[in-house]
Amino acid sequence: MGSQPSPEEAAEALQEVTERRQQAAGPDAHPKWTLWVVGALAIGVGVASDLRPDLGTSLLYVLAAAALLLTYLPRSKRLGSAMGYRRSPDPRPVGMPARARALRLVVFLALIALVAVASVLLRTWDVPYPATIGSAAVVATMPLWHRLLRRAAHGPRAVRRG
Amino acid sequence: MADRGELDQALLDPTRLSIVSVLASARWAEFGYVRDSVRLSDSALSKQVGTLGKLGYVETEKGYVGKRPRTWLNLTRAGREALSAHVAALQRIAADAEESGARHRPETRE
Repeated sequence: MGSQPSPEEAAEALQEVTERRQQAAGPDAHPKWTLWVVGALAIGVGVASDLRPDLGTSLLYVLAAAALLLTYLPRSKRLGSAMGYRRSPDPRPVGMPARARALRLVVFLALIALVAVASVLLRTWDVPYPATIGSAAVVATMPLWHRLLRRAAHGPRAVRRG
Repeated sequence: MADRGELDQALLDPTRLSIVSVLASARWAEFGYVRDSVRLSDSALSKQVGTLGKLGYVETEKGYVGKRPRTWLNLTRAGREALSAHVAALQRIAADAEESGARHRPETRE
């Protein structure tokens, strides 16, 4: 490229910027072991809340603490690297626009609402082990949620096609 | 650094643009991650990071995770601003070409 890129070179450069942004917001931001931990934790909490309903509040604390640890520890370079992260898992605003962040929040809220509704229905119908079934369903559909969140995390296209 | 007010000569280099774009989307990234993302050798990436560092666009931090040495790269505020301005300039060039193409299209219709 010279000092003034041609329109074709400009379009190629914009495409490159878009692809790099999408790459940085991609699913490989998290080490695979974190997905296993989240899955195991979800099923563990479901089973425990069925077997020991009296531990409900304590389990919520455990879940909240685990979520906070998994969210905030990787923000530190050293702790993140030690956990297997090769980059910060939280994209900068330039990598994830406000619309995408809002969409991600909506997906999370939809997931919580779905679990709550399913749990109420299963209890109403006297289905045994409702929390276990609910948590297993959430873990089984994790690839779907993962795909939705990935789509929501993608940044804007830097190049507009006519 | 800037040409036409916004176009950044340093970022006209495709490799440097790729490096800065990767770093723009993350708060920090390991040297190895950037190297693999833009498919460069260690020495080639070091050279480009050195150039970007001299411009004040990228800062490096060295440390250890356990006994293993690590280098982390960050895009500075100046780097983010330069990339934003550069992208805006590129979008303007692409949009101008699109507009002038649209203006001339009816005349060239068969």
